[in-house]
Amino acid sequence: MSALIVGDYDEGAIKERLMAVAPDCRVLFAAACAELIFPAYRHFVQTTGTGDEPALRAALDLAWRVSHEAPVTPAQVDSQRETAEALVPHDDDDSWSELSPLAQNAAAAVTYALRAWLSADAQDGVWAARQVYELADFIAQVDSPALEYVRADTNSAVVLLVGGIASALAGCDSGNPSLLRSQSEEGGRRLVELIDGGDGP
Amino acid sequence: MIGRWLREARLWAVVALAVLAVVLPSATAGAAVHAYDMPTVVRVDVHRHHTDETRAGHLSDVPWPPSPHERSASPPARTRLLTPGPGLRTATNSAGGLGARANEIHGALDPIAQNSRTTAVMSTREGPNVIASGGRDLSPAQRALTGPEDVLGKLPGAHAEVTAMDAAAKAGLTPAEIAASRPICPACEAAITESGGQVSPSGWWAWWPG
Repeated sequence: MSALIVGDYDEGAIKERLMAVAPDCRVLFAAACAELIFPAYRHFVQTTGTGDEPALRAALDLAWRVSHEAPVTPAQVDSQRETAEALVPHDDDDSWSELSPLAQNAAAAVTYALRAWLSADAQDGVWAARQVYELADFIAQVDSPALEYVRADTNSAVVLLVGGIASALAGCDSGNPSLLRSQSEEGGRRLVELIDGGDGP
Repeated sequence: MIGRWLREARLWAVVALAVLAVVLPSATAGAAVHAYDMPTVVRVDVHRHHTDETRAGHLSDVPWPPSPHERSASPPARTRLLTPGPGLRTATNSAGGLGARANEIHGALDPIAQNSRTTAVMSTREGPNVIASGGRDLSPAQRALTGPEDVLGKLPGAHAEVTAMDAAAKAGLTPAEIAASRPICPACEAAITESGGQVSPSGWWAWWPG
């Protein structure tokens, strides 16, 4: 698999950093990525009337518990992973809408956070970050002309979300998951403002 | 906004235009004119209706990647396309390369995306290939594997094969062959057939007789 490098988004650097931190920190990073774009899933559910926000929320909440002392069994994690993955829309779904890409990335990011818990593989953290970047790119491409894909480095959503990934990467081993989560939640709120404000679908 | 765009231009109309645009260049070039029934075309649903059963059926008859022998024995694709004869065999060989490219570009996706999206690669008589993905169109990682000579499809909400046909039409290119990362669905098969193409028995690729 090849690492995607576009502008300030560098999967090689993300993986290198994740390989240097403890497995729990990889899960926290992936959870922070999923939290960044979770509001996009809520937007998808509220707009289309499809999807299952409580189910995805529960799955993401479980990922955040990786640093808690309360025991969570691998079976519990895998069950929530399956739930989250089942919420990823396929491009051949009859219910596909223009907002389905948001749901694809949001649900996949939660899935990778739980996969990272089960596998301890840094690549699952990279895949979670990939979801965030893809979602930002999708927003950036919405208004570009037919047969054209624009360079998205300066798009507001790309700047916001790539910054969010960098922040999550810096803070994933800080020992303060609450701060990490609140920072991602704040990034998510700003993402919805961008979407609602006309910079997105 | 995608929403506004999609509401204003219904997908079935886009499909019909794509099919029409694919047919017209062939007709104007003096090639065989294919039967074209507009009322049939506009009923084409661009969303996939695969069932697991149909997918499994196709997968049991996968023609590629072709064997190394087939690939090494294949003459250049464009030469073959202009040569009458056993079209099925020659198209299989040529489509093997397209299939490999489709799989390569599809492989740039993360594992979950590989299971939920489709990638298609179309060769054209003029030379450039058309690269397309279904639903959300091409991701940054997929685009990173394309070259300046490739035409990148973009038609949110449509299937990869229809997106490729649409892009070829908009770029003034004539489709030759198309391969996808999974079997061509009945809706796309209908669109391809209506534009004069033929889908392989396996369902993994299609070609437009020249």
